[in-house]
Amino acid sequence: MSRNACVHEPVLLARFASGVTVAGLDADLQTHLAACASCREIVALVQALRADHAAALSECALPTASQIWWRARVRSRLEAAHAVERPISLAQSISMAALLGLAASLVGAQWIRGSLYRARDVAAHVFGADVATALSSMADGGPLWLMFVAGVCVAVLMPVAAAIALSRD
Amino acid sequence: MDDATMALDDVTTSAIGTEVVLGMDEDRFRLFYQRTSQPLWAYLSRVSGDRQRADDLLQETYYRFLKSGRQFASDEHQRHYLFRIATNLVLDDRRRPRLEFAALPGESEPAAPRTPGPDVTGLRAAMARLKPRERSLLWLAYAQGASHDEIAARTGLTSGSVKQLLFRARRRLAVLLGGAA
Repeated sequence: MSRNACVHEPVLLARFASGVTVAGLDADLQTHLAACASCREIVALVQALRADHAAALSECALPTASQIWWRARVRSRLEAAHAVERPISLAQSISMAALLGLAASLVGAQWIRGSLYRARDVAAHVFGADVATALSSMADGGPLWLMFVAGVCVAVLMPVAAAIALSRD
Repeated sequence: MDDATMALDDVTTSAIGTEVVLGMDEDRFRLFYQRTSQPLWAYLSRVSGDRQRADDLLQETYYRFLKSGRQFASDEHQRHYLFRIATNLVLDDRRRPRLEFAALPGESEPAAPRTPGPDVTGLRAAMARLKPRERSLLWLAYAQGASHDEIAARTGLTSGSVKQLLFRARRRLAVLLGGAA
């Protein structure tokens, strides 16, 4: 069989598309069909696929137009509502993260300062006064510790909060 | 529409407080659906190879069509666009999560499929071994009688590509059917 498409193929397909059957084809095309394996292949496939098309149309149990319409409206509204809620949800998550970060930084800064004071007492006995003085000055820098711990908390919590908020999409 | 569906309609309306705008009004959609739904379902069913999946894809196709809000120069353009959405969905289907639609009140279960005749059984087995793109082209060309230009409009391919791909798909199907090789 020829591996190239036959030049009669478009004409043949146009006839079939207009509803003509094989028996209804003009004499010229009938003669060509007898000699052209490529066109006979098309005819065989068209007949088989049309039969399956008819079978598909007979077996489909479609929902009504109203059902499709109603579902589309409901889904569209839910998506619109969700789109409206998205920035609110994101803002809520970030606010919560900021609050947690603030609480954690207050507690954390106090804990670090307490640890430094305890270390200073130990260092005074073990290493001498210089080390103890250095630790004491670090512990006295309270606002700096607070800012540092708050910064760490925010850097960790904000992306987590944003990821959680956006993951709901 | 019964009370339950009306009630849900009210709830979703109040959820955002605005009326949702779809691409056409319900009456026009009903006419469009009557003209297109059967061939569209047949197409989705045969290209996906799964009747249940075709039901889901049909709903999704019409939803995307309505949401697009596009205006069309003619009914043909409208129809081509619908089939193009369907083609993209069905070809992309393996990468997507399954869509689930709950049955509406009064909606019956789909009828059991009829047992296909011997010719159709062989054809379906052969079609199942083709790629979805090949099934799509063969169905549009030979089952629905679309021209190369119409297939191009419905699939997003160029007319030249349609011609080449369709020829290859036809050869493969003929070989699988075992008759005309």
